[in-house]
Amino acid sequence: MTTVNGLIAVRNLHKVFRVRSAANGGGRRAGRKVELRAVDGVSLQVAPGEILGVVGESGCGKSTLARMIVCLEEPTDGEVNFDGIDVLQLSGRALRALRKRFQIVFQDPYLSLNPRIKVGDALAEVLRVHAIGTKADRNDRVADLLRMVELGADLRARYPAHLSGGQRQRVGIARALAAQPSLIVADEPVSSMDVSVQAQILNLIRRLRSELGIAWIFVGHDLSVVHYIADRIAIMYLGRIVEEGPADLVFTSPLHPYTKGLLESAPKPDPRMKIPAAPLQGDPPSPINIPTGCRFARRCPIARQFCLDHDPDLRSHEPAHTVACWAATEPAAWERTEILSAR
Amino acid sequence: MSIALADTDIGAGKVLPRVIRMMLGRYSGRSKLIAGGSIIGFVAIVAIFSHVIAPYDPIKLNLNASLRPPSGAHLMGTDEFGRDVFSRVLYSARLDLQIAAFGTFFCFLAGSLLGLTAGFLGRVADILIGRLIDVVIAFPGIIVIIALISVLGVSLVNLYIGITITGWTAYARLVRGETLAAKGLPYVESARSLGYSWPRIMFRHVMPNVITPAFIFLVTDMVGTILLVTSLSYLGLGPQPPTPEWGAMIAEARPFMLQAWWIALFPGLAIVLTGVGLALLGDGLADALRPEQD
Amino acid sequence: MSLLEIEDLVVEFTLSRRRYRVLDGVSLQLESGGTLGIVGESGSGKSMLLRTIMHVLPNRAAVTSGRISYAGQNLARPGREVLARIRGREIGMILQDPMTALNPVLSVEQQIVEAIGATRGTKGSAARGRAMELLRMVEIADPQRIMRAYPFQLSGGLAQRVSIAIAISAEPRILLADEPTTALDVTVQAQILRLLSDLRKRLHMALVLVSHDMAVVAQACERVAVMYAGSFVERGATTDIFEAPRHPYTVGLLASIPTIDAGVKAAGLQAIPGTPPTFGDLPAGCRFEPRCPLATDECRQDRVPLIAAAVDHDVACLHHAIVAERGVHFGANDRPAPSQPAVGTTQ
Repeated sequence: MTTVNGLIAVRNLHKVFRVRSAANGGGRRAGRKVELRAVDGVSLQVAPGEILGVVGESGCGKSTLARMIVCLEEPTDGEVNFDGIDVLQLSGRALRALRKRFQIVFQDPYLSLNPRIKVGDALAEVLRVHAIGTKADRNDRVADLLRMVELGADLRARYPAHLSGGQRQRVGIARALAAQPSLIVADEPVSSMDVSVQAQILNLIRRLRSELGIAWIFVGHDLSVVHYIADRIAIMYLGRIVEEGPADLVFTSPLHPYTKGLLESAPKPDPRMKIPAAPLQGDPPSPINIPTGCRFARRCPIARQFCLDHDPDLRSHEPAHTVACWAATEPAAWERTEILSAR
Repeated sequence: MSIALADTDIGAGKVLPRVIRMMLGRYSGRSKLIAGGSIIGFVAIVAIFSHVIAPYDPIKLNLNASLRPPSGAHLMGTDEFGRDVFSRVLYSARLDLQIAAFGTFFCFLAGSLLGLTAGFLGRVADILIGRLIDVVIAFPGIIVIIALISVLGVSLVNLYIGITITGWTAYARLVRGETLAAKGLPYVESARSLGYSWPRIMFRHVMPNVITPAFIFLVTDMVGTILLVTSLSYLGLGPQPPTPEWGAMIAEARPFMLQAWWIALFPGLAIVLTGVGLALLGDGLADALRPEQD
Repeated sequence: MSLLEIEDLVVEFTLSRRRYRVLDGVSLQLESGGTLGIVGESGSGKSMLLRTIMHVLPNRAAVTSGRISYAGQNLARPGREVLARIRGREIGMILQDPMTALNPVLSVEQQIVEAIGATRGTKGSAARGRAMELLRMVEIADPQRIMRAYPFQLSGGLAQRVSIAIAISAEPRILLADEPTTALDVTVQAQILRLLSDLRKRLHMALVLVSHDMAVVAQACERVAVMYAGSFVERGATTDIFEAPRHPYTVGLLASIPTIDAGVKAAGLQAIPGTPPTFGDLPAGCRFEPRCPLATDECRQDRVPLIAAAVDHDVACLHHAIVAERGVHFGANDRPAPSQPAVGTTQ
């Protein structure tokens, strides 16, 4: 059963890795193979021309999710539908042909480009492989691509080593654009950049969306960056989406305690405000030993017994604003149980 | 308590005198490259023009002049058959350099290809090639070559076969390791996500980036090949007499070591010189191709 | 008298027989117990400044002129023993990536005890007791277990706490922190910043915090210095600098930071066009001039020094009065990024 609601629709995606656990602080389970549930049941949709932001801390699975959407990683379960086609059923030539419709931009501009291929040649290769344009106009198209990402056409003869980080990231975006995609997944594209370059790239993404109508899935850990760029935001924790909705709504009226905690923890560039109170103690948990019940309960400031006993699923709180938290979706039943003592 | 923490010395580099620095081995890669390159260049030129430089025919017998010490007429003396050692050393240079170069190159070619395939395709290919490497490594190289040549007969072709069969594994491992690392890099994943076919990714995107360490290893490996060839010739399994070959010349000189030291010494020096030249060249190349670190 | 005074510090870097200025005349003063933030982008030299104070410079870099004096008068030439007495004891340092700052083959206990032994001379069970005390001071809930652990078994937050414990073991008077929270998740970052603030007050330590994140500096430091291409372009009380910046670069930086605000989102971020100069390629006049919308010919003539624009507010800009009056606008990327080569990389 496929829905054609969005350009891309991900349903119940799972990714489980089998790994050897690091010695666990001296525990006895050192060295045995355990399950790492990187993505544990994620569904989302992106409409054409929409920018979806995915936010979470390390270990939440957002990068794995991004990679599964562009078929760089095979899901253990679930569906990825692109324009109604189940991408996971394809292989070989059919998959390769469809791949041009969705592209990925990586975090590290220094490793994203083949150091031995000139910028212009790398872009031309995309055109050649996907038979875009003719041999005659290839040069012009390459120049166009460079201009689209605000680089001079003279950069085509350079090797990546002679470009700055910001320039390389732009070339990475140009390469993605060369395939003429409808969706670009950007995995922390500005995380390793200086603030001024970051602003340039963010504005570039917005421009590309409004001029070319490309949809974006923007994965990041910086809340203000994602808020700035995204129409809708999904907050991830331990492999699941815990809250999702329009960007402004989610950040001005957060429903999930984790979202609230993130917002409170982030420092604001306002010297009159005090250092944030650090509402969430402890470290982001490991996806190896996922607790039963609500996986956030152990760090949650408002957790009750109900949360330990039942695993919340994503439910609509308002139209288009979903949350996986009993306090918001089943307040009556939740309130009747005991408050868990503070850690 | 007050202290000024600034001082104006530029660090150890200027304080230690230059000589001590050289003794500590801080030659730049550049000087090694030049030194090694010059030596090998010299040997190569000598080898190419051996037929011009050599004063005598290297295989012509002249029993009247046998066992003469080095002199004006014979720079390196003569051997027991009266053949000019100098001419023989020169002619052998050509042969040995050729075998070393081609032999090592065949190992590089076969090994790199197999390593690239194993690393890139993974799974079955990796397991198969991995087992093959294990099997080849299990046998001491020189024994295998000796056995091979004994069975197939003494010839140049068989020598090349033997060298290649025993020498490719180091390259395979090197390239396989680099390939595994490169496979996970974003630019390779980009190529995948752009829908490139796997031969294209393997040969156009991965190979140029993983081949450099193998290439550097090739140069230093030539030292080993030269020693291998000269050792095999010493054992009589290489080029057969009367063809001059450094290792064979040393073997033939054994009965005369005490009375005619020059017959063994000069080929030996030639081997050492070539080996040192190749080692310096390889080292210098490694330093030159490695990105500048700070 | 200030606890730490730096005057016209110049540090140069020698590469392939050419000299590059990494720090180009830096001056600052740190009072006892004060907090100073140094903010700048990569390649501005901010990390190099900290390393120069601790005198842990890479081989090719050296101080070529200027003065650093700690607590009062300066002596002629400090020997190695003097440096050894300061480093780790009076001045401590924590680095960005706790995973590489800790020795991977030694346990936490071994590393803390070693630091205690080196700086205070305490050994044996007294040292171990002190180590436990330090771990509790950095709010580690289960110090016994962490003592036995190795760095790879620790999370980023825990590892950074251990780094801090080692750095404060001798109760230094100054703590230098080089991007201490950059590698950490935002929830952990908040914990570490709060911890540093608490420790500072408890131990009456001065703090010099280097970061590229202006929000962190805004909330953790009373005074701030903005660094660009090896020198300070603006310096003063944090509230002044953030509320009324006078240097175009500072204005640009502040305007390019996204905040969770619908107004900012609608208006768009301003982006300073181009990239900072590399050390081989510094302009003759004002370093920021190529990217500045207010640049005039005058700006291209000579280096612009820091002058006092207001009380406790220094700025290195000829047009700072214009900035104060009318502000500066960078626009959202209407200039194409100039295609300049990035010659070499600087850390």
